[in-house]
Amino acid sequence: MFDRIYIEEAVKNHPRTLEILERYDHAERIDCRRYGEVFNPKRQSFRLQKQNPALILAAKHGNRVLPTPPEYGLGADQHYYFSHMLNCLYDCRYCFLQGMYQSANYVLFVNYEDFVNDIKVTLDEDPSKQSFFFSGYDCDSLAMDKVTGFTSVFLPFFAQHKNAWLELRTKSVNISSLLDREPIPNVVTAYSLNPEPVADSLEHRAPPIKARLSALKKLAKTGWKIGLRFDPLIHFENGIEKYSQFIDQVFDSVPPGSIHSVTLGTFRSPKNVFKKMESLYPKEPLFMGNLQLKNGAIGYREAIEQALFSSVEEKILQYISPSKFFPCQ
Amino acid sequence: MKQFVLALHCEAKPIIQHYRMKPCGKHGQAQFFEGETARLAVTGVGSLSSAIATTAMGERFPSNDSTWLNIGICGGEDLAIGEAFIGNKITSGYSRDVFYPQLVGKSPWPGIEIKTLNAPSSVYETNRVFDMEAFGFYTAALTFASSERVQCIKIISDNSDSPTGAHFNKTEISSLIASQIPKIESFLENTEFSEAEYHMRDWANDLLSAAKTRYSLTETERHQLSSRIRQLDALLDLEEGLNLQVLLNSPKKGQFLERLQFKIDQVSPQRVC
Ligand code: SF4
Repeated sequence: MFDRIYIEEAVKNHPRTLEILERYDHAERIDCRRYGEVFNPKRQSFRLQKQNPALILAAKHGNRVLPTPPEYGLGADQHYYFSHMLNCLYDCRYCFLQGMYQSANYVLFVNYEDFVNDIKVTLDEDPSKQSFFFSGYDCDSLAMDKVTGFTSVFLPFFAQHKNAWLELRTKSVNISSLLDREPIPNVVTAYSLNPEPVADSLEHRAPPIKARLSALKKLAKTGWKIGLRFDPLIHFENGIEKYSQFIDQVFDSVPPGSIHSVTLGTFRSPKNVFKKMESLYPKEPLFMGNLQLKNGAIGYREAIEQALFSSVEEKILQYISPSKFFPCQ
Repeated sequence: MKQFVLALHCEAKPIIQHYRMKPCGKHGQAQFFEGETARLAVTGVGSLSSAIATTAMGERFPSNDSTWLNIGICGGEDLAIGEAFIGNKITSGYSRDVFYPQLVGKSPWPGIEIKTLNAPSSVYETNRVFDMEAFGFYTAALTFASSERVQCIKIISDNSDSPTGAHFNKTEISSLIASQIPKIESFLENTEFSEAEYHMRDWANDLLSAAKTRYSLTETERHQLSSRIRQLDALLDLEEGLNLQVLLNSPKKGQFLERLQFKIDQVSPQRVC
């Protein structure tokens, strides 16, 4: 899977590092002082590297658990995110990661215990509060689970902390680590979903929509809570009609009782990130037309965004109660 | 284009012959050679000479899709003479900077750290090879290409059993390099290095020139014009593109630019999926 694995000095003897190195014993090992030496230099091509990314094993020092912007809440008292990994197995054309980082190599922060400890400290600050923790902000939460063993550490922790919620944001159908254990009531597996034409043309290397819906169904059937994430909404020809049919298809697949929450988000990107994405794929129609710059971010023109957003919103609310719906516009 | 950078003429000779290169100029002590698909610099020994010649080559022959290869001999403690490596880490005996060349595809050579020294050494270190150019070459070549397109390939010419200078003559060095040419060829061919360079089709170039002639445009408007025509070139097929000529009937430049944008807005949602 990896031709090269970079190992940060600080984690060269970490048990998780040793375990990964043992599993990928054919990969070339390269030592580095800090992961930034490999990941951050400017003269790198994200697009070329995406063809054959290397793995970088590192430690995350500080800023491990951060509050989300207020508009990204799911109804808990406090919301946080954390990233045990940078970069993703998949290659969605709208993904901000390609505009964020110089490198497409995967960085895995192996010091999970420090993340867990920081989450615990956050919870202990006020145990009466319900807190939500989003994983999968800078990566897909489950896609690389077989490599990272992420769920094997974080799920048991959340199982023991009932005032903490975990969202696993994913497009992956790699769900055996969930199916193999009892469902945890405060863990939500949240699937990013878009109609088939969008998924086929923009969500490169991600599992097809049918496979995602089938994974979602299996999880629901075994008692796991499901999140539906219609995010980002993409404007395309007959999009309103296609989204409407798609919402029917999704809600037909998931028993309403297993749905924890549904979110809806628009396509939006900070201007500099958008410029970089555009330069990586100068022929990508997604980056052309009907866009505007507003408050430093590029998004669809208001009329287009509003028409799409409100029609999908209306459709979703035919299936679920407003208390489970979290629009983000 | 392949851009080879080598220190010595005897190292360069088999590559010059393979790519049928002819001399094409000098810069200080550096000599340049050129063939149809490859260029080469013979830089002279040392990191600084390599950096100077690499910079001169990059400036003299600008290109944004070249792959740069520094090839040469090196010393490695217990590594067999004739064995070749690709640098996965480039360090030096005189700087804290470190480079990590990135691979796009598979490499036919194992990777190793290349440490560049200012003078030949008969003291070796485990897990790294010593050379005298890679660090200077790498520093300079990164100005012209991204890290995936700048690679160093080194062939062991001395080790602790046969220390530096003890045995090699020019012919032997040439044949060490020559033995790697098939792998170098396949590395360059099999690795997908062709990052899309943007070439517009004829109709788009014609429309661009006609619009520039017809309207008096400010710098910003010229920029808008090029960017909109480039987008339309990506979105439209030939016939649709040719039909855009009629937009040149717009009496005002603002109107012309607006109509281009209108077309983009109209077509892009059809092409997204
Ligand atoms: S799955 Fe998510 S993180 Fe991965 S590329 Fe797609 S949008 Fe980005």
